[in-house]
Amino acid sequence: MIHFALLFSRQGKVRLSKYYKPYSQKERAKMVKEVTTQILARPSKLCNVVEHRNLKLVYRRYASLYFCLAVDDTENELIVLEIIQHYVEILDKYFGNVCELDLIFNFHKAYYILDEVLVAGELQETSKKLIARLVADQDQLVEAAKIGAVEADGTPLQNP
Amino acid sequence: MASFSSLSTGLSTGGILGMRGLNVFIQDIRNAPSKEHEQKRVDKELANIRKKFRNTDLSSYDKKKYVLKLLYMYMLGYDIEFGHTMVVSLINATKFEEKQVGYTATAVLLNESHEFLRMVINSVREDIIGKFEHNQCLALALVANVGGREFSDSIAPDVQRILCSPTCLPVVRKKAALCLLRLYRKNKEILVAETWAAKMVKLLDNEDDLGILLGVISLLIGIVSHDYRGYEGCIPSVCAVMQRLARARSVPQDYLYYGIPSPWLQVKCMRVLQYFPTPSDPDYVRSETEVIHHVLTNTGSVKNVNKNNALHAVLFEAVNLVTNLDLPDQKSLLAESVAALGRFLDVNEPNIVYLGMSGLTRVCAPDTIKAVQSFKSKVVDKLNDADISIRKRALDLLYEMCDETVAKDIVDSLLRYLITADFAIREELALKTAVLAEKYSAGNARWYLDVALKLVEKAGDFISDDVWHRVVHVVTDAPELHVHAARVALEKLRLNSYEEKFVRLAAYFLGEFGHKLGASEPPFAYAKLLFEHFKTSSPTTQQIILTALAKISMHPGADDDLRGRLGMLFRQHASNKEVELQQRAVEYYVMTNVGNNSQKLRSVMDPMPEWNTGSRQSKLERHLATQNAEAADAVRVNKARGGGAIAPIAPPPEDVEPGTPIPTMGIADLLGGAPVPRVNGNGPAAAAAGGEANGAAASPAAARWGQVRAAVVDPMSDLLSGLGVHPGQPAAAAPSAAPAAVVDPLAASVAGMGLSTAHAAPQSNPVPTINVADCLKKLYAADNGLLYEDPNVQIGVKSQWQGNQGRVMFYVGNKSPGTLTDVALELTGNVQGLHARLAALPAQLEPKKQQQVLLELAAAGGYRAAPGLSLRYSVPGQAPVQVPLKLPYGPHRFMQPWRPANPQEFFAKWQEASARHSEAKVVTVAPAMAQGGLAAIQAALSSVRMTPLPGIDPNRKNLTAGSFARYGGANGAETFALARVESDANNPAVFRVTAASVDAATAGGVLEAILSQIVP
Repeated sequence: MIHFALLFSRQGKVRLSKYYKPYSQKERAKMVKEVTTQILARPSKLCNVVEHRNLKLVYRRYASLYFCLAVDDTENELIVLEIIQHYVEILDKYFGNVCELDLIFNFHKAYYILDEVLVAGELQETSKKLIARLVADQDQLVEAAKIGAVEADGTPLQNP
Repeated sequence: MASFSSLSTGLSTGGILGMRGLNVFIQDIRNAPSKEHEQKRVDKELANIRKKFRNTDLSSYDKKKYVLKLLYMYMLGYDIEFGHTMVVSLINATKFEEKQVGYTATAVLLNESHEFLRMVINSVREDIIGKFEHNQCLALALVANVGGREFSDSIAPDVQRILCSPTCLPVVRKKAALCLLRLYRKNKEILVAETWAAKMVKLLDNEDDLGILLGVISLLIGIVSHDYRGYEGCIPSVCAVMQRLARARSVPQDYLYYGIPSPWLQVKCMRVLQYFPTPSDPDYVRSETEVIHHVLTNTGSVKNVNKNNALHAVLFEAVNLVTNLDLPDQKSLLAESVAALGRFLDVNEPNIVYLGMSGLTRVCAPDTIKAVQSFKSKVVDKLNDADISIRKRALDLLYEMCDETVAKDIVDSLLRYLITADFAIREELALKTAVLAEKYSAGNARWYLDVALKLVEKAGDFISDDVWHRVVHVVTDAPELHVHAARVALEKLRLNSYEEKFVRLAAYFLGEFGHKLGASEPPFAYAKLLFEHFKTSSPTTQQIILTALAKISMHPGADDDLRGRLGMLFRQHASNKEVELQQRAVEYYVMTNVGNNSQKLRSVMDPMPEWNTGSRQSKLERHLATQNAEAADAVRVNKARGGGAIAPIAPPPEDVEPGTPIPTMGIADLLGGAPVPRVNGNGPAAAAAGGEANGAAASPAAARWGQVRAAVVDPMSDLLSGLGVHPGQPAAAAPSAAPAAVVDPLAASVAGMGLSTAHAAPQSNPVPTINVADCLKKLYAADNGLLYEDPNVQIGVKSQWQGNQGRVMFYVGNKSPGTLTDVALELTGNVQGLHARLAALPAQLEPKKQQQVLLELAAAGGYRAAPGLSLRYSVPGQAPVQVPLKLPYGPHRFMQPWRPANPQEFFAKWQEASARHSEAKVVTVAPAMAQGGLAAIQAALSSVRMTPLPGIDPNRKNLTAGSFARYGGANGAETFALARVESDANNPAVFRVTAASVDAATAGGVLEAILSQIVP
């Protein structure tokens, strides 16, 4: 299973972090520091897996951002690597040529979308179209509430 | 509907709609010119939010905005604990948009042990059993991501019902499956095979939706990895799914990934089958074999990276499946697997090479070992790969594929590699080489000895004491090796081998077997060499040399002259400040000089008896086994690394078996301990080393490679562009080179912000009873002293320094009348360039008792300051105490004196260094320094190991100093650190101190050390 997902920039700034195992705040801070240091020190063109304690860090760099999933030692590394690609493709479709700034200013969106891809440290859905539709539905709900398109008792209108 | 879609388009392109305050805040943070400005901005915002949260009628919009701001600050590393209540309370809200923020933030911020989660169990359950699917999804995802045991107890039946209900929406059921997996992990009793297995079969059989199947099979993996019994009925269903995917039957377009039917689901299917024994029904066996065979023979390399990865991932899993089953075609399938994995090695794609070697390591068994060995030379080449991940895999694979036919070749390759191998891998490498050499040495003990000696000589600092102790055991048991061992030891010592561990081993051999060398080498000849090495060795090695010399004095042929010299040496060290050394010197002096007692004492110096290596498991193999066991135990991840390191500290019973007739037993009382076994007990803490071979410190090689990395990439640039792969163009070209280095001002502005601000809960620590800062200052120069003391705990320090290595022993004492619990001393953070390893402290400390814990340091490269130290303990009935401590072990600790031949040499070095990096500071010095003038400064410089070089600077009022360190060991290059102190003509208390070095961190660290000694 995936222990945590971490997105960070070339400068080591965290852009997204999500833990699927109960790490304390202190352990999280320590892990972030170790993981970012270890991965940022690796030149490009090396393989996308590096061992860290008893975990394997599977990571991939996209322009200025690093996406990293920490998995059990026994996990199939390449298929995990493609989970990252899958997530990035979904982000790309949602934002339209996604860039780091999109994820900085819309970090909450990145979390919403991640929840459609990964749940309980496992891959949840592989259909990009389905995820795009779900996220769009949720966006509609929020917008509908903003323009007052909700029932009197506060329940949002269902999709027509 | 039309208006809805246009709204959602507007959102997805920028998301700037609404949340203006949030955007402004993020922009402010990004614009902050420094960490201080950022902190200020954050503090202001936190104060504002605290104020706002006191207001009970915040608008929905504001609540969302502030919670998202808190989430952002959390990601930057700030403590936002006060906001947890508000975050969690959003879950109770009625509106979806509030719930969405509440659920998301809660799942990111909290973990299952937070009390707050219990407060919302009811709301979460209502959302789950409610009718609105988006709320259901949010609630299920929260439980799936952070749910604990309480959730398991209260909502598991609801989640099961949803998963099995065909009327629930697929999107909800998928989440329910994974939610149930989480709940099952927390409480195995919620799913009982008798009732649940049938439902699983039904779920698998009646399901067409590949998304739900993915969730259900993940759940099944979770269950059967715990206990497969009762779930055998699922095998046919899983086989059916596997067949469906392998033949791409009724797989919707959406579920093709670069043309491959959901590779993730394929992998999961093959994985779940690995947990079951081979099915008995021939139909399913055929079905499995067919799919495996298909995958093994039909996977080639393709150009598209993503497609290539996915294909190879499936192939890799098929190989795993083969190795875990016992199919009728097992032999041919295994052969196909090995061939397929072998092809991985030729793929010009590091990930696939990595996986290929992992696979070959796994597949290695008596049946396949010959086939695997055919790739030996390719794997040996990979030992020189630029990537540590690949090198580690190569080492593992060579170790696995080794048998007597190739042992010599492999051990030779490993020995050759040892010379160039970097630190991150050396220790493991040395250990594995030693184990292999011993394992396959049957009939050729001499080969083993030569390998072992080479190993100790070459890997020196990086082998644990276990390795050379083991060499001693094996050689002791092989009388035919004794002469050879002594001769090689003698020859190498004559060639000035200064590797400490080798000197120890050589001293041991000469002490035990020197007399077998014959008349050509009288005792005086080899004793003389040991005398010479004694002077330059560390105290630990000195102890061993002393023992060896004492034994040599009893060798036939040892004359009075030799005994006289030895006597002098022993006497000289009878007052050595090293207690251990002092004790040995005193004991040996008495033993070798008391005439009337000589016969009894002489027996102490008899050669060691046989070790019985054959009947004991090699400690080294045990060492490797513990490492592996540790790796398998994923639960330990959350624990500090100490766990694995404690065990070897107490000498295992095999080493000193009670009742073994050791000649020293009879007089153990007199000597206060048997001297000879101590030879093997030196530095047992170092034995803990192996477990940390995979430490996180970046290797120097990695750092070197780091310099060729592309510069900062524009954060505006398209994330996918660098890969040349767009979802719309699955067949796009191979990844292009890294995008051009465009330095973005926005990126630069955030570069200075750290992430390390983890805030612990506020604590009221006891007041130290010493001036901690003063003690720290002293310890910058002194080897021994006090580091910390409060009413409960005292920490003393003793340290030894040699070359690029340091051993620091902490003495942690409990001053309080009660037992201290949860005691821990831990390093905080990693410092690049400095390998630091701290053994673990027992969690309990009895009153008035002291515990020792060893910190081993090895400088592999320049660094500025040692990692911090964190002391934790609890006094029963009081809040736990956590004290951060600084360690005064900067790069100056590894400096060695330097004497330039003339001023020109100094200035040449100075120019070279200051051109690269220099750091200066004008300081007002302490009164004592001001009065003492340059002489006092000179003393201060030498106290921090900067060799003062008076007379070099033409201006008599200035002072220069210089030293160098050999990072990375005795063979490392010299890194010079130079310093210059200039006085102010107008004010005798003001000096300008400049430190320069080609290594920036070293310059900074040395300046810090100098300043610690001269400023008040």
